[in-house]
Amino acid sequence: MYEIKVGMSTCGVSAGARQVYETLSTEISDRNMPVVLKETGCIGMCYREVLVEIVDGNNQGYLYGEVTPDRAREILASHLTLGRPISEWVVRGPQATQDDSFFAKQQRIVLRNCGVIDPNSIDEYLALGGYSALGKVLREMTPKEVIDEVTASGLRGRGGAGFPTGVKWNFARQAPGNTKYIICNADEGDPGAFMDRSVLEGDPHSVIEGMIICGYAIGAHQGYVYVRAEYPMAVHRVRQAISQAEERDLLGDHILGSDHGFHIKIKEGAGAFVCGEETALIASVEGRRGTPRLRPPFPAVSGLWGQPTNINNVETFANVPWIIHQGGTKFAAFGTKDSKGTKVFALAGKIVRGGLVEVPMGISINEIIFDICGGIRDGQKFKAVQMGGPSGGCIPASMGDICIDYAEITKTGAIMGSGGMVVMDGSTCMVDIARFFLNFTQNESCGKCIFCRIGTRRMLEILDRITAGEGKEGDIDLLYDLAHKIQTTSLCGLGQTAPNPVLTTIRYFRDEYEAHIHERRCPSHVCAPLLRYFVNAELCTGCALCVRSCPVGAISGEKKEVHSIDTTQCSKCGRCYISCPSGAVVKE
Amino acid sequence: MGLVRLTINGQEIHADSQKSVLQVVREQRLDEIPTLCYDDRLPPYGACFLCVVEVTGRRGLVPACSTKVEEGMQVRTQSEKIVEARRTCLQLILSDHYADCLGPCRQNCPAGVDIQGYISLTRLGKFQEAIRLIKEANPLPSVCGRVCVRKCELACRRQRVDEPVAIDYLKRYLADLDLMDMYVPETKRKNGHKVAVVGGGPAGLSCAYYLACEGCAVTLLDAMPKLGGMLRYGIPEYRMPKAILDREIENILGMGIEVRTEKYLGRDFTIEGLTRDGFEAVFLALGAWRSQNMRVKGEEAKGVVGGIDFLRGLQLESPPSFRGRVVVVGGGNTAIDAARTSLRLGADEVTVLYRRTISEMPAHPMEIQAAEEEGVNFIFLSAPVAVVTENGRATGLECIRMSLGEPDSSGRRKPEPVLGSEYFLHCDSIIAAIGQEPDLAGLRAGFGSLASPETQKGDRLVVQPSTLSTSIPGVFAGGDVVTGPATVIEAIAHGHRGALAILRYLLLDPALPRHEDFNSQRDIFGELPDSLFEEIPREPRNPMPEIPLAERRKKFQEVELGYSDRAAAAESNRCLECGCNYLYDCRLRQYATQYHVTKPPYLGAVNRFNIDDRHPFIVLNPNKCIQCGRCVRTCAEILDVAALGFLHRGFRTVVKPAMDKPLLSTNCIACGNCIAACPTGAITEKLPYPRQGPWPMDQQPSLCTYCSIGCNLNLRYFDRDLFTISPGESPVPNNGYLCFRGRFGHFYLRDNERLMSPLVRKNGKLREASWDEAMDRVAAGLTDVIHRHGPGATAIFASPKLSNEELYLLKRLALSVLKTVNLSSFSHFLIPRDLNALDGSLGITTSTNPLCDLETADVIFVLNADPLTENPVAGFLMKRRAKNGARLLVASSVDLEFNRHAYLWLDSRKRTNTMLLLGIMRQIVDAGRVNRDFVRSRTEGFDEFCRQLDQVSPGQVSGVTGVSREKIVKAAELISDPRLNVMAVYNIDSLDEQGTHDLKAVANLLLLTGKLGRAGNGLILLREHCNAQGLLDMGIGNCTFPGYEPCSREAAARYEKRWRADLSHLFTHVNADLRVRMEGRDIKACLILGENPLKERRNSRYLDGVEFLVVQDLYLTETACRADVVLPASLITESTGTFTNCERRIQRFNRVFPARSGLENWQMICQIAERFNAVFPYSSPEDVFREMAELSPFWVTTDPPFASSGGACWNLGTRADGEDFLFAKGFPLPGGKARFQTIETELSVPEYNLASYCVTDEKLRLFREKNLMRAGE
Repeated sequence: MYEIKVGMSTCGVSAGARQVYETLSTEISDRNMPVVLKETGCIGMCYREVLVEIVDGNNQGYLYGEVTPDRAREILASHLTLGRPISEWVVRGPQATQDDSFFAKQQRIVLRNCGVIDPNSIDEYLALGGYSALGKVLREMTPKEVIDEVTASGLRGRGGAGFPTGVKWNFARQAPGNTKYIICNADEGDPGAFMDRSVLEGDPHSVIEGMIICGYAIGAHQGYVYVRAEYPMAVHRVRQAISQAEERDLLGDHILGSDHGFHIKIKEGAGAFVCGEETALIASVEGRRGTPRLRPPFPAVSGLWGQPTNINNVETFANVPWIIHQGGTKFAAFGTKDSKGTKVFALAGKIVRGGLVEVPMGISINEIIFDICGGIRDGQKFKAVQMGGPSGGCIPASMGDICIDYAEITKTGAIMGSGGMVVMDGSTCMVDIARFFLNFTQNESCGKCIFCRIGTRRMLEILDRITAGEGKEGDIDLLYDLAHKIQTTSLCGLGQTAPNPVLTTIRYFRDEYEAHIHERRCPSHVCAPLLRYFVNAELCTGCALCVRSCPVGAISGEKKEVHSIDTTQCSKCGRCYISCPSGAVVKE
Repeated sequence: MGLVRLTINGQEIHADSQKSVLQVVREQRLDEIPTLCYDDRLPPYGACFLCVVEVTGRRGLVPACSTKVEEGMQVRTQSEKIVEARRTCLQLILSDHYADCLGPCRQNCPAGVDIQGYISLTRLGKFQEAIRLIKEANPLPSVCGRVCVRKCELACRRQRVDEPVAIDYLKRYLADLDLMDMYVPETKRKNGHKVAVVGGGPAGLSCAYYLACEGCAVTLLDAMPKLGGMLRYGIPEYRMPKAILDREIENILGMGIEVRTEKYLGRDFTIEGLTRDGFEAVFLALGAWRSQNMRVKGEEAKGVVGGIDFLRGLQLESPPSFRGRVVVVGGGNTAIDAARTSLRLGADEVTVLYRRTISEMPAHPMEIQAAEEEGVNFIFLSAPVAVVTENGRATGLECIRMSLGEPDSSGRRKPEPVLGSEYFLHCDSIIAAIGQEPDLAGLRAGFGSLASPETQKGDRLVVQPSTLSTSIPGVFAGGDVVTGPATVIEAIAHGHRGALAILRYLLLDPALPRHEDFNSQRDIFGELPDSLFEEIPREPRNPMPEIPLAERRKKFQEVELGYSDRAAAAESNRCLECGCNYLYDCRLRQYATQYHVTKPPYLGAVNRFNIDDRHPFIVLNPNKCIQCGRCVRTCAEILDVAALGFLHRGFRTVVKPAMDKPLLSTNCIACGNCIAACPTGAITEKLPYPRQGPWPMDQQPSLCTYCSIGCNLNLRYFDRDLFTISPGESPVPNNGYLCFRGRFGHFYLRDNERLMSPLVRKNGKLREASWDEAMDRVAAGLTDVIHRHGPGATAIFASPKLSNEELYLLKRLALSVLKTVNLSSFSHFLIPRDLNALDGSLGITTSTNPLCDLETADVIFVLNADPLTENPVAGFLMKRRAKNGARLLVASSVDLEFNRHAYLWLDSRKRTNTMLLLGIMRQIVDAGRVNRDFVRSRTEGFDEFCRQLDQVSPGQVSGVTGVSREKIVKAAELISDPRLNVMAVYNIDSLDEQGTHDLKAVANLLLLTGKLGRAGNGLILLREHCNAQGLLDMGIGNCTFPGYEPCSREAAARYEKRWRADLSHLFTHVNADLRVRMEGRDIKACLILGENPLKERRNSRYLDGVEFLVVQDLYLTETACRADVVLPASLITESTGTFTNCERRIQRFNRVFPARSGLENWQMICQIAERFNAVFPYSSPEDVFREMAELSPFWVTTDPPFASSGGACWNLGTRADGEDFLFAKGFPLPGGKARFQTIETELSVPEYNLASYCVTDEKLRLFREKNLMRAGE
């Protein structure tokens, strides 16, 4: 009896998992094969999607990567019918593969069930010990003990700020009031980050269980999952998981027959980045415009509908059942002095193996990028990594030995953030990347604070002109000046951190800014207005491909003769550069 | 909690720990912390970050608005870092502020004349005010109206539509009117400082004028025989008639300026000498009198004369005749003047020689055009090389052609000679008008032993630009002597600036820098798009009438004739009003000025929005919005309306009506509180004038007259015709909020249609009469009736909109002069309600608690009232409380808008509320929720009342009222909950539900539950009219003395003594219902003040028997039409007095304008009394109030009500200290106990109409309907 699991998270589906699943399904039923076909979540190897795992009767798994419908048929034919695994497609199995190193240094707590169980099935979650932590809490522990356990684990909020979770729970618990609320913040908004989505899609029950435990600990009976509507699959899986939990008395007025009651509702957000901020999120849940408000009062004292409210993000909640189950000390055994446990990162950018990884705290950036993710694509040089999304900063390659630790990362000017890592190589212009992130935050500003609304816009305009080759003397100082004022005079994290990408790139790559401003040159050959295309006469074969590719007729030259580009006409679109088969078109 | 000790700016203070740093700093007046988004009536918002301060130990800067004070905190509110952060903040705001503070005209005027202001006043026919405004910056409008170079018109945006507004012609129009009756500014008291002004040209005159205005003793010294400088000696008669110049100068000198002419500095006097003579400061305005040489060979020849010398000569001697051919060299105004003058002197041919082309000519294009029309020839691109002479006399000019090369430092293309292009120009006279320079020969001597002031090229004096001070202390300089030859308006501006600098030097710290006001300009964001101008209808500029061309050449008569009235009106209508009409109130501009924001350094993208003026009263200009959210928060959180909201995110964020709809299509209630909330000009009032200003306004606190809430408001006025309303600052009773009526219902205050003089019936028709005549007639009429029918046949009726003082005087008039007790109000007659309904239960029928107690109520029970319509501000308050957790119970048969905010709507059938209340009380008794302690210790008659309740069955109540049993139970539970504060609100004047016994039942309910005599628990009686409570307090309609004092012998003796009158008739008259007597035609003479009973025809039954009728009102109402004498009433803005609002609060209003009818209401009453030889010895309404307070203990506790804007509540002496609620100690009934009253359930009440019988209410209704209808189209 074989079991086939198809990675059906958003990453898999967008790579074609649905077609693979349907092919498998049709084939299996057509051929009446004794196979259990099911969905599973993201296992993290997004660079190998579509992933299909065949588990044989000996419980030996074979994970196939980059499966297409055709390959799926072949795998069925060879592996299942003939018993011959197609080893060159297997990315993880009984034999060693080049991809094994992807998992070697990972430690999966949050992602323990992702890609393992079928997220549509509560039974599979239960089978792996799911909800046993909840049972333990309700039967054996007082709320205070729960909080102590979480405090002992050293778990800090995984949403970005890294506030100790146990302490936060304790605030909410001690806040006066009969009605308290819990909100799971699933408003994941960093460009290139998908940790929360993967967890909700791959293992929704672990989050729900974490929320129920939290509710018990602080004395709340109502929870909300605030998730962006752009995550339809996550919304669907969580909704399904809630109703499954309700059916099994894991949610309701008497959970597992106890006196503790807890309910969860889903609130779909419209995708405003700022709604990840606690007070804006609360406003949005209440049906108002998502705008942060002054703190204090903190949500722990006066949050949703004016009641004490505890907000944690998805990853934080997903850690909780494990901590209760395995004990806080075991969790605290991972990591560094101040940063315990593991952290999930979503890796994107110029990296060989992009995807989702979970590593113990204390691991170095280089280990993540080189050992787990296989280094930089196309043999390029590692230049920098943007950590913490648009609120974070750029850490240069020279600091790659820095370990994953809240304090250490903060020292670099970046932040741990929620776990986005965008890896850059030599072809990335650091001014341009700063501009990219700032453009994002300034569009997402709620518009309330003057410095954030107008100040970030003015910074962006300065970056615009620098990348357009119109930078002025003093622009860097102006950026610094504005950045510092925006940091200190914005109400919420969005504004306070918005200048970080600019500040860190200036800090580590000031030469690139100066090259743009003083030399009118983009060292990474990215900023189009600063580029000049010309033909290297020695390499030009006169094939005229470039002539045909040029939309403005700026390239002249007879066939078989050396061509030339009229720079006054050139629109710098770069088509000739791409079209030249002999690398004769050079940009500078 | 409690007090904390902290240090602010090094000063140790104590403060409430619940307060923010901003609140503490404001309350203790430690500093002025700027803020744009903070509103102390709303929770702190923290958007603008302008209020940032430093707190030791905190990272960065913290917003003061949201930082609570803490023990040991160390705060600094001033530091370089703070100022820098605030300035950056303002710069950022202003980098996205697509708005003009000033129109480009004013911005471009060297003297900064408020052009938009005076044009708008011209359009409104306020010519004197317009001249006054001009003279604030320019004391020589007649001169400037003729010869100004009009930089304003160059900048005028109207030229994007068609042609610039003829600003200067309008100024001349006004100035010409002014010449007939010249405006003289009020000068301040002499300050004892002596200042000498040297030079009587425009700069010197202007300086002398402004110094004199400020009270300096000014002496003007001039070298020439007459004052005026270049205005007289440099500008020819046909442009600047000297007679007019003389008038204008004479007017300035008339302010007490001493003049010494033909005094030449350095020859006749010295600066040292002036100092010796006690002059503390000197302003040098010597001008630029020396013609520059052409620097060509032979120019010293006879027949060659400098331009300015030529013009000056004409003024000194009799005009020479001038024959032959004349060449004028130069391209400035002097050259053109010389050319046109030459023609007039008889020259055969006049040629202007200029080295560049016509487009580079510095002379005004209009002057050039006029010269061309008159026949002056022009040769361009030519320069003189040498004067050709014959016998020492010029016979021609050797010239050379020029061509234009690269632009020079002035930006104009530099002329260069064309080699070999010399040619000869034959002529008889040459006028070299190529420029002038100051002549400082005498100046150096004039300083005597003092060091001479510093000079620079061309002998110009060097001054410090902002203060115009020279290098010698106390010596200032301005005008051409500083700038070189420049324009008149620049000289005037210098004179003004110099005067201010001298004042600062004399009165204050001389080092004080002068800061220009910040001005936002749209132009810095690039040229304005054509789309802004496309919709504006084309309307060409009104031409200036001129004398016929043929006549011009012959004489020196002024060429331009001036605008006609019609042209001026039409022209003033062309102004586009570019400047902001919130100019004088804008906080953003104020802070930008204070923090020295110059041009924003962060220019980039800017948001541009369309202005939305579709609403009849509110204009939205999102370009000026700074997203402080005060309007949005006020609209949502205070008013629970949410008509305004934020749209978009990021840089595009903007405040607009919800869903970007027109404001009228939202649920906007047009209350205008957003206007008051806006710190900039983003939300402004659409003023009911054809022009919107801005005008600098004064303000006076006043009161709203529309309902009984007594809202404080400010009357903001430019003059008696141009004014508007803004909310008052007092926290009670309205806390700075107004409703539609208070905010926009001010049109009647300036209605010119109202009665201005008395009318007296002659031969059956009402004719205008003098006050004397009218008063004689009133006295005669009344005397006649008294003679024939006795004093009892006279009656006085007073409106509940009259002031306490007026009502008191009427009381005195009736009792002591007419000797009648017939004093009432039709408001008592027309609405059938029992004004004394609670006298039996509580001892008095009035509000027991102040409105602010609603703020602390947990349950608000509203009966027979529609607060949002009748008393909106009270409605707002209750809505907001309902939003913030109070339970609102509404008993009403009508599905009111107000019910939407109710926790429970007790939807009783019409006029069954008595039954409903009985049902609730029955439920309370049945559920054992009676407040036994209260009932036992403080009431009587409970058992008897219970017996009545027993007859009411719950089923019967639901059956009769239609209110479900559950609702009744719930209401009973809430009202009787001992933990909750309960306030009942009842509108005694509301006509919808009126059952005469409802109110008594409400009193029983409050007694039953013990919700009386405590803060936050009690009854509020809303009333319709602004002084309805005062009317009762004064004993109008009752035979009591003011303050509910029964008519005892002792009281009468007191009044007799004070009034010096015999009041014995009070004890002899026959008691009879006045209404019955009126219907029985027993009343023969009637005095009706402010009431219009005949609005309803059936009310004529009251007046049918009246033989002599006097009506006082604002308009010729139906009742007035029937009168024998009609007296014009004064407006609230024309008198002083007090009103008592529905919560018993006595508040003052102030006279702002003199009464247009000549008499204020109280004076008129006094005059009637005097006609009967009674002495009413009052010099002001304050005297009246003082007498009231002396005569009755009732007022003692509220004296003096004139002291604070919030006034004070009268309280019968039953209140606890500091509380404004009644019955804390006992009830004003025998034994001090309240009494349950037996309630009759009466289900049939006659139908009657709700017709506004007070004129202003009716006017408001019409106005509102008209405006909203128009806007709705």
